[in-house]
Amino acid sequence: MTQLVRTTQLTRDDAPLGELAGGDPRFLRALREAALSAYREAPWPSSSRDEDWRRTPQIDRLDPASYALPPATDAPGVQISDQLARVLDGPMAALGRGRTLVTDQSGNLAPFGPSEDRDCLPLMEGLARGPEVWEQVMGKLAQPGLRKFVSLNTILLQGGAAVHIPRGAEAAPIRVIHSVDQGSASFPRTLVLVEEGASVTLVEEWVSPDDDHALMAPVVEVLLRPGAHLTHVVEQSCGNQTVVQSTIRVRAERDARYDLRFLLLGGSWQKTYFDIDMEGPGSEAKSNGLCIGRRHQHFDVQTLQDHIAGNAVSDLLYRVAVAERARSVFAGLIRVEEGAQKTNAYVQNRNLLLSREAKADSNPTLEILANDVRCTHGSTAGRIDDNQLFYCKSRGIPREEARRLVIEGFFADVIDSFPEGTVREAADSLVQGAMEELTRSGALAADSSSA
Amino acid sequence: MAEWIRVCEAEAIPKGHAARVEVGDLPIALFNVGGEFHCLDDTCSHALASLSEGELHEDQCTVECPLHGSQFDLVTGDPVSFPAVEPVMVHPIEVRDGELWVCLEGG
Amino acid sequence: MTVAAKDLTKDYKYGFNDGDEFVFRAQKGLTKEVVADISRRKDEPSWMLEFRLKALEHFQQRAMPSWGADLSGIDFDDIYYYVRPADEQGRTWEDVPEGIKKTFDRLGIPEAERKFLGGVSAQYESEVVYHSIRKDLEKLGVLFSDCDTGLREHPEIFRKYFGTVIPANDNKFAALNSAVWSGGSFVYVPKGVRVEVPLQAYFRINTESMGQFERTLIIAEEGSFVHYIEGCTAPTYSKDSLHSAVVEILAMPGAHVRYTTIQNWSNNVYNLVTKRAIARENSVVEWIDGNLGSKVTMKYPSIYLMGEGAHGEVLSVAFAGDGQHQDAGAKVIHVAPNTTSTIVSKSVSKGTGRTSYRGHLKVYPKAHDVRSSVRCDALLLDETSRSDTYPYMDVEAQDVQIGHEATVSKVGDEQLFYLQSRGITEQEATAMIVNGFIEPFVKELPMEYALELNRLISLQMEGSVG
Repeated sequence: MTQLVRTTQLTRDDAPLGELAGGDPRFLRALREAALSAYREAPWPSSSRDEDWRRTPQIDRLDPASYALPPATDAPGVQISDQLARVLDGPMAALGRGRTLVTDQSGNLAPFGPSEDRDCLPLMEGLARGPEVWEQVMGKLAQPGLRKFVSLNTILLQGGAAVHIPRGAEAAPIRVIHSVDQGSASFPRTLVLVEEGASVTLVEEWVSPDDDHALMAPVVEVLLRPGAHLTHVVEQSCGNQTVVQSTIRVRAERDARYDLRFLLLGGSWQKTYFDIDMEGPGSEAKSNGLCIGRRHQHFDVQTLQDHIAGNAVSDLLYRVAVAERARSVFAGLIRVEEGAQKTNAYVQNRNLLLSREAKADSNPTLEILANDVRCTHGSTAGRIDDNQLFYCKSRGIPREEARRLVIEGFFADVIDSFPEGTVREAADSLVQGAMEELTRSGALAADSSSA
Repeated sequence: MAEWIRVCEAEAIPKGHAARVEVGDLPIALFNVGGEFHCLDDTCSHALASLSEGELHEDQCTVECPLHGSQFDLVTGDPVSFPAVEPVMVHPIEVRDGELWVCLEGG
Repeated sequence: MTVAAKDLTKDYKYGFNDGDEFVFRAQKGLTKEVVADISRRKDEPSWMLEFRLKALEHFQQRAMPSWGADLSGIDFDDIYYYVRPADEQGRTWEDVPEGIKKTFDRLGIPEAERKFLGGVSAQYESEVVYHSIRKDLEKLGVLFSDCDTGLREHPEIFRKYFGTVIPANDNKFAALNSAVWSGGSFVYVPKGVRVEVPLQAYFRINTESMGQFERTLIIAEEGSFVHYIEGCTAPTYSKDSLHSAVVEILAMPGAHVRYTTIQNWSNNVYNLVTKRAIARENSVVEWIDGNLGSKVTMKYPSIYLMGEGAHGEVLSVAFAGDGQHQDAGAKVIHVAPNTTSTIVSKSVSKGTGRTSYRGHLKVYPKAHDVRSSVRCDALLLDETSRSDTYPYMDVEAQDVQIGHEATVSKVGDEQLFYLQSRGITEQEATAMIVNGFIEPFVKELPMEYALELNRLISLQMEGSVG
């Protein structure tokens, strides 16, 4: 029997309880109820009161009631919009449609193309097939009361992906495309469980059309069993009126490895939390990401590398270029708990300011409670280095092109760290697209420096 | 495009008093210094506190922000003491037939 | 629109007339009467009394800071804000902890100084030294006295600058100091004068000058130079558990001011300080800040680079032993273009000690062509030691080069092994390494301080000091 979710407007203090079209497993029901309590109790984030939101005043004006919840349907089907078609047939098509999940009309993720695989399923199906498996992951990493948008995602989620890679398997890459429509909000939940010694690459793309007032609030929970390896590629290229609120929480057990590669290019403004718990000794987390901001875009990225066990390594490299009136806010915490000896942890945030009005706030922090460690963080912010520009000029390269070359060089390390082949090519083409836009809009021409 | 907006009755703000009014997205502060009216952006340029909650120094024609003590000249909007270093926007204000009218830039 | 208007004028009614005879009793706690009496006893002009009373109101209204170190142990009602009753003054030599006495021995502190630092005597006779320096200063037109004297003898200069850098309502503890300040130094250096010998607060020792609510005001006129030193390396006992000082510095165009502090307060002290300097065109301000003692220190020397070509530097060292929390850092605000700044912070945590670096680097939109670099290094000696780094960077101008780097680690095994293989004990080796670690700071100190500091670190490593 299918129960349809009422499409009611949600508010800052309340939300209608969602339900999967096929019905919720009991544990999900409990999670939703806990989340609803938490959502009702927690005040709406405030830039004047909450440290996390201090530099993102857009939150004060965000009204969740202005977005419609997608209609629930018990017969979801993938209807591909023009934009989705372009994305599907773009560079990443080489990964194959068989292991691609796409957001459909009801906001669920559905497989695109025939597939025999059981390791990558739409959330509903995954939960139906193995609730006891997912009960260990869902709501355990991103607890219902963790933050306001996690609560909301838990209350309202209608779909997502359940990726379960069995022991020892070396799975082929999986692609998940989240999208959202005009006037709507979407709350996809991606669950990833990579069993002992298994490995997979998961590419998540967040897309939406331009000029559509929309909200995307994904939550991703990743549990890596001992020796597991996940390469996680996240690409945000949403439309210019889309607001993105996301949380990605990862737990790495003994000897597990997490490689995160991310691109933040679209949207009107976003706040993303990347939290990684180094729970087992020998675990390793390496995150490389870049952001290109223009017009009035605002990117707020908050990361946590929490070393609970010793003998783990975590590394984050985040490079940002902001032009026109864009703003980047970065807060990255390395926390080493008591007893987590022999920790190696690094954070590096580098910011290129391409215009007078562009802003970069960088706030890497350290809380270190063990002593036999090596923890470093670094941050820079500035305009394009004059020496590099001079070098290009002296080879007859015109100024605008020179600036573009330098910016591409700035991002080269990050792109080169994307998985070789299709994924790297696709990432490169996305970045090239953003650079094209920058050039076309004249953002690279206007410059006050002498070079 | 500058626009004159009627805010309230002049009597609503007696001498030595201030009021905070929101015009669209912009909070502004209105001050009555010995019968003369002044209008500034309400948000302190230092740390986002509300100037209409501060202390009025009528003799110096300044308002002191309640959060960190920065003083602003009510005529020019310039900071006259630390820790503020940036001015606050001043808006022309007039009394027309016992009503306060403020001129704001742009939409 | 209906508006709700608020009355923003605050008229001060003291509740008693100037002509009243007021009998002061040494009492704990802070009231209007205590503040009024401080002002009366010092025979201050009415503007200062009004300043103090307004500050008291701000202090009472403000909440405690919601960030920083744990200040819950402060009992505001259990403090003497001005004068102590006579029978509370003394402490005998027997009361001074053994560890402290040993430190005095090892640092070679002279007898008379020991009594003073140990809290046994209220006076230190350094009058002779002070007198001869004073004569030289007078010839140059330099004013150097305590703030009470400054207010009394040079009211025009004093009033012009006092409270302009740090308004009474800047934060809760600046408000407290503004209400009950006493002692501290007043330094005025005329145009073009270079004061070659460092001015030390030590010269004018008496309990007041190392008091709990010191207020220091330094004005360096155009093109002048002065180096001011406060505090000392040797452990200094203070009966007062709350120290809340305010230091204001004005560096006029082309001036150069260096302010060195080394504090080693006893571990019952909460040391909460507000220090700020204004640097005009082409001036240089340097804060050399050493935090060795106290139970909790919260101190963030700050520099506002207001004029083109100004340069600001903060060089700080923090050492936290068992039970101590040094929450220190720096704030540099680039308001004018073509300004530069450097911040170097070195901290060492031993035992259960905790050091936190808290910094704020802000570049306003018009401040183009700014160069700034921040470097924070922390050494954690023991498993139970802790270190935090919270730097904030707010960059709103384009043509800038801002860099920040921080590292946290323990003493390298290879280094230790190397030294030990040459017959040096682990303790001595650790001391050498720590001394090397804080070298950038030590080399900026006058010789005697540098030597004392190195010796003190060695003692700390031995664990023979409390």
